[in-house]
Formats: sequence, structure tokens, C-alpha cells
Amino acid sequence: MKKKNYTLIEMLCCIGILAVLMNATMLLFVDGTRICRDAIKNAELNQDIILLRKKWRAFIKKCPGDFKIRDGILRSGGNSAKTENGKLILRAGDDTKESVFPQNTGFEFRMEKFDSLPDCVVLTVSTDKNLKSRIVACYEKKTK
Amino acid sequence: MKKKSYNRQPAFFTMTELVFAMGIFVFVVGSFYSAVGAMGRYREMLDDQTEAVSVLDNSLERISCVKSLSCDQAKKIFRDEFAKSPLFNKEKIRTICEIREDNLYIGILKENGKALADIEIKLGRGKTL
Repeated sequence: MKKKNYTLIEMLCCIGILAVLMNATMLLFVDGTRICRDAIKNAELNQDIILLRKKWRAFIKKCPGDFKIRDGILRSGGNSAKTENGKLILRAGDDTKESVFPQNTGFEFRMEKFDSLPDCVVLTVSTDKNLKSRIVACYEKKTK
Repeated sequence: MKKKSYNRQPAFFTMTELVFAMGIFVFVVGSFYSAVGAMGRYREMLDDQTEAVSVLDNSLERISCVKSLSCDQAKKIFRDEFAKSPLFNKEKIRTICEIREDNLYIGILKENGKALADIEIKLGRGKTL
């Protein structure tokens, strides 16, 4: 008996079904790898932010008070905090500390004042990955 | 010596075999899909947890600077910090702030009541409830 070969239609149908299934699987695979990659990046960034918390609070404690924010630079006495291409530079006297973050990272300084609670200086770190972290550091008001 | 018989039917797949193979494939894709979904949910939960820890950390920083802390002040600080975090807009997240055995317990909880992050503050000398 002569062996029946597959027809072109059968082959095309088979390839079509396989292509659809492979496409669905690939989409899932790409999603999975993207989630993992983002999670790793976020974890690294969060680690850096934890270190930055300590540096930021230590810096604010060293400052004499009377904070002023102008042109994106925070100043207090001779100390200053400024940002430069994803870099946060904290200068307290002769001591300068730099924290390097990805280029697209944004930093914002803000003063928050409350009536019956201590005032604080807030550093907000934001990235394009919709990650926004708020770092609060309180300072004691110098009374005359 | 036996002669090989060549009069067998050609080996096509039967409908049962095809359905079986498709079933296995669908099962594998389904498992993969649910695994990816679980990964996404876990990542979201981790993000929430990180944010919750950040809220509590900021609250503690502010609480630690209050010279004579009252319970109302601590609650006010915690609620203010929570309101400024992205967790505030999530319906599934709720907060707790209460006194437990003379300690102030503050926490951020998930929908099922499990804590994303929580702390208990012992109000010692100089701190009044």
C-alpha cells in the first residue's frame, strides 16, 4: 500500500496551530522574564535607598538648621545637598558623600512643617519604573 | 526467517492522540500562565511591603524626635505618613494603630488581616500615653 503523504493544507494547518501556541507561550515567557528583571532592578534600587536613608538622616542631623531650597539645591549653613545626573551629592563641611543612582532617577527636596510636631526635611526619590520613595529626616529647631 | 509484512496501515495520528497531545500542551501552558500570574502578584506584594516598611520607618523617625510623645501624636504622625504614601490609594490595604499592653502597636495590614509591616513602640520614660 502506498504511504499517504501530508497535503500542503494539512501542513499549513499544523504549522499555523503550532505558531499560535508558540506565540502564546513566548508572550508568557517574555512577561515572566520582564517581571523577574524588574523585580531584580527594584530590589537593587531599594537596597540603595535603604543606604541613602542612613546617609540622608546623618546629613540632616549634621546641619545647623535654617534650611533653604533654591534651584533644586538644599542649603543649611555651609552644608548643601544637590543632584546631578542621577547622583545625589551631600556636602557637610569637608565631608562629601555621593550616592549614584540610574540616570533617570529624580530627586526632590521638600520642607514639611507642623504645628505641634517636629519639622522635617523630605527627600523624594522617583524612577521611571513608577517607584517613588519618601525619606524623612527630622531636625531640631535651634532656639535663640 | 520471518518476512516483514508491509501491508500495515500508515501511522496517522488518531483523534484521541491529538486531543491527548493538545490537552498536555494546554496543561503546560496553563501552568506556565498561572506561574507568571503568581510571580506578578508576589512582586506587587513585595512592592507594598517595601512601601509599608518605608512608611513605618519615616513614622519612627518623626516619632523619635518628639520629646514628650502622646498616643494621639504618634497616631497623627503615622496617619500623616500613611496618607502620603502610595498605599493610601489602595483599597485592599488598611492600617491599625492601637494600644496593646501599654505599648503602641502600629501596622499596615493586607486585606486578609496579615501584616505587611508592623511595629510595637514601648513608650518609656519621658513618653506619656
